[in-house]
Amino acid sequence: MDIVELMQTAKARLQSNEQPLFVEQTATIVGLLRATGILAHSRTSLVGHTHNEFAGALVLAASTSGRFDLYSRRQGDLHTRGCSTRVVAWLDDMVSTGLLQQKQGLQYAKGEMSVGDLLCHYVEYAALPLRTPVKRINLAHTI
Amino acid sequence: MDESTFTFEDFVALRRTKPDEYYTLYTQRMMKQTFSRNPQAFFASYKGST
Repeated sequence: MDIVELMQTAKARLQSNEQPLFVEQTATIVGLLRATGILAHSRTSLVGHTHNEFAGALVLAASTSGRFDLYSRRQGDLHTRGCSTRVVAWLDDMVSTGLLQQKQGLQYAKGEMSVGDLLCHYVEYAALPLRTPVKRINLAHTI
Repeated sequence: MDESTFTFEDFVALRRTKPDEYYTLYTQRMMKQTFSRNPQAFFASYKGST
């Protein structure tokens, strides 16, 4: 699936605010990308929503087929479709750090890409505590 | 916070329990530094290569 479409889906999901698991996974991946230096940690109040959409797209890709496409590296195409033009640079950095694998073995983002093991692991890790059922104490027995 | 032993899992926990502390510039910078110092130790629960 196209990364731009994934980002639009992620944006709609984040705005609906009805999926705490998805929000949790997205926030974890944003943290991971900031720790690895791919996303900037400065001016997050201005660009944080774009970071969230980008991380949300990666979460969607990781939790479905694990693959997505970048059809065009042309900045004008991305801008016309309402997407941040920084996406190409972020994807390039992710490929070079090994968080994404380019299918043809290129060292930059182009065409079909698959989500790396580290990213998949932390998407799953972010979901773990939320799937744990809450243990409720019956107060009638304690009093 | 002990910077030398902090892992990404600790940061995930910190975001859930103390979000105000997590979103500070200090914490974000520290996360970047601890990763660059030792990526393998930083991603503690991940067993593959980083």
